[in-house]
Amino acid sequence: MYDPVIGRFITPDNIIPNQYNPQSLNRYSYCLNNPLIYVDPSGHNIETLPPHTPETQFPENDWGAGSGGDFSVVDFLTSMNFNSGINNLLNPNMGIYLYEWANRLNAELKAFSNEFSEMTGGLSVWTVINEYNELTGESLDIFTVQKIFNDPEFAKKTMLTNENMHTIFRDMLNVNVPDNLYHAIQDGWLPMYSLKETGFHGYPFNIKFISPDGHREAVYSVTDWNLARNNAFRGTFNFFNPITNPGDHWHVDVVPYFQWLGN
Amino acid sequence: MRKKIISIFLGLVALLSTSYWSFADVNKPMTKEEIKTKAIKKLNDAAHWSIENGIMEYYQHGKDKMWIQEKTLVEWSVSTYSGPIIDSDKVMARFIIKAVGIYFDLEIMERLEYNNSVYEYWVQKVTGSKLSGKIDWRCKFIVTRADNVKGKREILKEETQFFESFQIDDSETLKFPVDDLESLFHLGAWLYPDSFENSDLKNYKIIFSKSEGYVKKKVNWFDRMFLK
Repeated sequence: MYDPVIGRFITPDNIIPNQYNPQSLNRYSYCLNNPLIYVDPSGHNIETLPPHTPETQFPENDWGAGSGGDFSVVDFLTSMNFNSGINNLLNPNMGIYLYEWANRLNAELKAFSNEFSEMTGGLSVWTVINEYNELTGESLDIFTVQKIFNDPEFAKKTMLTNENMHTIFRDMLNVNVPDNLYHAIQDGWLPMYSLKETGFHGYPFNIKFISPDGHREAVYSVTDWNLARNNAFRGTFNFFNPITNPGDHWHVDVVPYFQWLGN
Repeated sequence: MRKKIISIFLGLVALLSTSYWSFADVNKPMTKEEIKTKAIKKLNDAAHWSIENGIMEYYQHGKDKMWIQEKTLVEWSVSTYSGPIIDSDKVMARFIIKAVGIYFDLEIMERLEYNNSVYEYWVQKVTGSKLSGKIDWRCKFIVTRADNVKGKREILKEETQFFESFQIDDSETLKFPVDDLESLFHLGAWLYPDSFENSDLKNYKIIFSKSEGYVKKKVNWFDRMFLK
């Protein structure tokens, strides 16, 4: 029996599972005092937590805070019900919750980090955040960056209220473009022939290309097929694909241009 | 006793004030001018490193484009627009680095092998966002020397005003190819007239057409209006 007020088991274990392990001799402790690694469903024998594969790690709807697909740290903390927090904190399963939560968060951030790297041609999201904070003195964090990519309304609000995010942060993501037009075509980059798209980029000597996923832009000279050398604007990063998602692209990537009078 | 309490109280106040100021400094947002100044200093350092070491490092790392980005990002918070372009079609060496929307485009425009050394004329152009328009200088003109094409460079001369030639010794001079229209097209002197105060190059623009190739034309008042 467990007393949540004093935070201790008040009934001792009726067996000593391993007499050679000194931790087992304390019959009032739970899981050798290490609930992060072990569980004890029977009350008599500890079991190691099952290996955390993607399938077993985050079963659907086990958090009471939305399904595995829309998990967020805020939802999780809300679900903890901190008004009766003392009981939660004394719950012996707390360690397991935190362990699984940390794993879940870790997996989610790792997936986003990989996705971010693909969109930016190999950039590390952590490096970019450090770079941005170092250059602007701001305190950008990975959750904000993740939300910008997943929530167009939040992204739009961020770009319209923070000029540095619209100009500096976007520009930081537009990197690692192919070094010439041959390589751009080989890599599946798409030409944006229209005057509307290329007019800002030194038309008619230059043509703008976008990456196959629509995120990055590069401007090439048609005279020698190398990256344009003149003072034309060299393109920037699109949070939303202008071809497959023109509505969100307009609101998040284009409208702030008029607000701040430039990229 | 009262004295002791007052001393402890004052000590605590002093300690908390110091802590507050140091935290306030860390999170203090910077003005645009501060951001620009900081970025340009970092870009300058990264540009020097790229000119001096970039080609040598390229031959050590191969064509993997990430090595230079890892170096410039970690050391100076400076990104690279593309990987280094070395010995590519019509390009001897080119590095495009950037920070806060300001691009530094570094390129070798002329190379001369002489007396067991390689001499190169580099042009560093500032292009890109509206921030870059307010920089005091827009171009740099740099001469380097190396033991061989794949070696480390040593900067011999660096100016913010264009110069046509660099005297290596009494019998040899490294000259910018001012008669080559393609080189002048890439130089784009008419776009950076402030960097060509003592040169006539700023008064001519080079245009390209499929039928005529590169053609030299006098810059008129209409061009000037847009270039400003």
